[in-house]
Amino acid sequence: MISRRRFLGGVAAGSAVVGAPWVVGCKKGGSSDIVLGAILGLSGENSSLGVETKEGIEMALEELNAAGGFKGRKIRVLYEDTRLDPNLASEKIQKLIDRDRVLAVIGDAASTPTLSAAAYAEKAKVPLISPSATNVEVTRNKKYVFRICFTDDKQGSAAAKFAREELKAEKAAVIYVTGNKYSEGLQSIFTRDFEKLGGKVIAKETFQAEETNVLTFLTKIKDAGPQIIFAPVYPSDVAKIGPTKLKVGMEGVPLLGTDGWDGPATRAKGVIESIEGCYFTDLFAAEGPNPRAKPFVDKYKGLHTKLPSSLVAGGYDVLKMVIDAMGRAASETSDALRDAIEATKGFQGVTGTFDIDAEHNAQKPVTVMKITGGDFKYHTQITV
Amino acid sequence: MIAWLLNALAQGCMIALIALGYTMVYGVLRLINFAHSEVLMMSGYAAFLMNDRILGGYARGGQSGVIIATLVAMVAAVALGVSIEAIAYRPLRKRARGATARIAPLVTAIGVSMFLQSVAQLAFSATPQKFDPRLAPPMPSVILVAAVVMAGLYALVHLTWIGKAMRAVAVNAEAARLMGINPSRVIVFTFAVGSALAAIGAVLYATTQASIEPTMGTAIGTLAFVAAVVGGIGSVPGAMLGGVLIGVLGELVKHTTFSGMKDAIVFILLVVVLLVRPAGLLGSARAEKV
Repeated sequence: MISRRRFLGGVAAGSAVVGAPWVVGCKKGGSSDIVLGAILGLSGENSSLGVETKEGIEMALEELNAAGGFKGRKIRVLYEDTRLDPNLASEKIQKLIDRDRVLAVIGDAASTPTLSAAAYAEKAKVPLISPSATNVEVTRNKKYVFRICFTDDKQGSAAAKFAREELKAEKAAVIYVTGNKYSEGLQSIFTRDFEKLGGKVIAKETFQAEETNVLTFLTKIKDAGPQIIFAPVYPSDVAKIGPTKLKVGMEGVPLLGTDGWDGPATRAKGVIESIEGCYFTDLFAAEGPNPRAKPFVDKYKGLHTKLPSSLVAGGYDVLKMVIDAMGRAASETSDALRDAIEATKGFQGVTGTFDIDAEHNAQKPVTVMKITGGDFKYHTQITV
Repeated sequence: MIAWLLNALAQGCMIALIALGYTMVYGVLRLINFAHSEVLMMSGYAAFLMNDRILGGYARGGQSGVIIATLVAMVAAVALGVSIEAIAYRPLRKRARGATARIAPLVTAIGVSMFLQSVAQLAFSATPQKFDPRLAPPMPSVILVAAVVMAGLYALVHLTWIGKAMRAVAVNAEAARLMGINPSRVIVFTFAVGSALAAIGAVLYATTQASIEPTMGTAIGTLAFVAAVVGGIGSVPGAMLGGVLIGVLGELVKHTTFSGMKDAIVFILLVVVLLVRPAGLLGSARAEKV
């Protein structure tokens, strides 16, 4: 039997032991570390977008810290999961800014959550930099929101140009997801530009995000008889559309996707075979013409035994770009960092050499990938 | 046109198979078994793990692997459905009195549903899994499987002794007991049959279209539950009719320009049906004794 006093003494000693690392941790962390935040969709149906972006950020972080961090100080990134949900995104960015007092926030990988988080970044005057949110609205009229990729305006135009001029398609069909800003934005830009170039969009089908059966839509598209099907969707949708396209007997009609395709669900068994010979526009190609990408690709291949996706590359570049801007910032405040990011010129990343333009976007050529032999292969680059 | 009709009917049949589980349990117990959707989800996982991890997926098992996986899923579903009844509902049924006799099992059902979703998330992670699309059975065989199973169920309920006992318990459990029927045994049997049907529905759903994830039961289960209510909850032919109706209406909406709001439009149409026939299409409007 333990006496009450000894018991209480034990509890006190125990909590001191448990508490000790916290106290030490605070001292060690404290003001000397550079703390950045990241909001990413790390779980849910399209979690690969966030997970792969995080892999890229972690790779860059390791390299930066191994090389002495930022002026000898350690860099830390705090991650919050948004599930790509706009409500969660605005909640998590508040947490990072108000509780953790981060200097800047990276994310999200997709447009809908980024748009929702952007409103709070503007209010709190903390820079938010997305590696891959392409919807036009994301940075429009915003002072603190940036991205290191092109916009859907550019991507949709490039896709239309590729379909019209390289694939010589005259009749196109479009299939997209209702209520998804990315998908809706791209389909309207593609339609506008494809028709401007003399082509005709002869069928337009839309489905809700929860839809599991797309057979009816593809049957209708087949009846219209297009030469190409534009599908600005996410990997989970490619997994529905690809096999169904084969089932209705449209082997000869290629799909033309967008950067949202890049993910493991697109590469899954039975899916990748069904989209052989299809194309999609992307932000980065591991086997593309940029020589600076080579060491990055080799290192990633060594770690994960596969080629890095555009999301990995985006995550890698975005952290390096923010740290580069910090080196040029007049002081260590969110406002000074914002000014430095805005002034970025000729940043040499693995996704290409880019400037941040007046609209806070990065101008890069659009890469076109082709699914060949069960893998994504670099096809060409399009400048619009 | 024929392909379209087959697809619409197949959609409806899959919903109907799952709706039957809701309606049968309601028939004998007057309980809406919200955990039914989680039995569906868990049996989806059982079938997937069996097919993909043990039988080697499409490459090694081919189509026949799906049949073995379905049988495994059915056994797993029956075990889970019967355990839920034994652990969560039966103790309450013995103790509950008066007003709580209806509410307590209902709240428990919701609790079991949430519990099983969390267990699935811990055990299998939130990342969705997908059957190889090449394993998908063609639409006519989906309808054939569903039709045979439903005909079998109809025969079971109307031609066998246990079916007669189920109907007797549904009408009046006390009177059935006086006639020498053990209601507990009938209830266990009802859960077993409903769960096995859910497993077949889950495998058909997962091989033809849906991905397997901890929340898949809620998405498909909602459709099935609504199908059971529209058909007239407690009525076995009603659940079949309700399921087919939802499937066909959904496919019809896909042909309009409002395809992006499919679920909203289908549910509005069903509300109209319930306004005209409050007890559902085939439900009996007789007053219930409480």
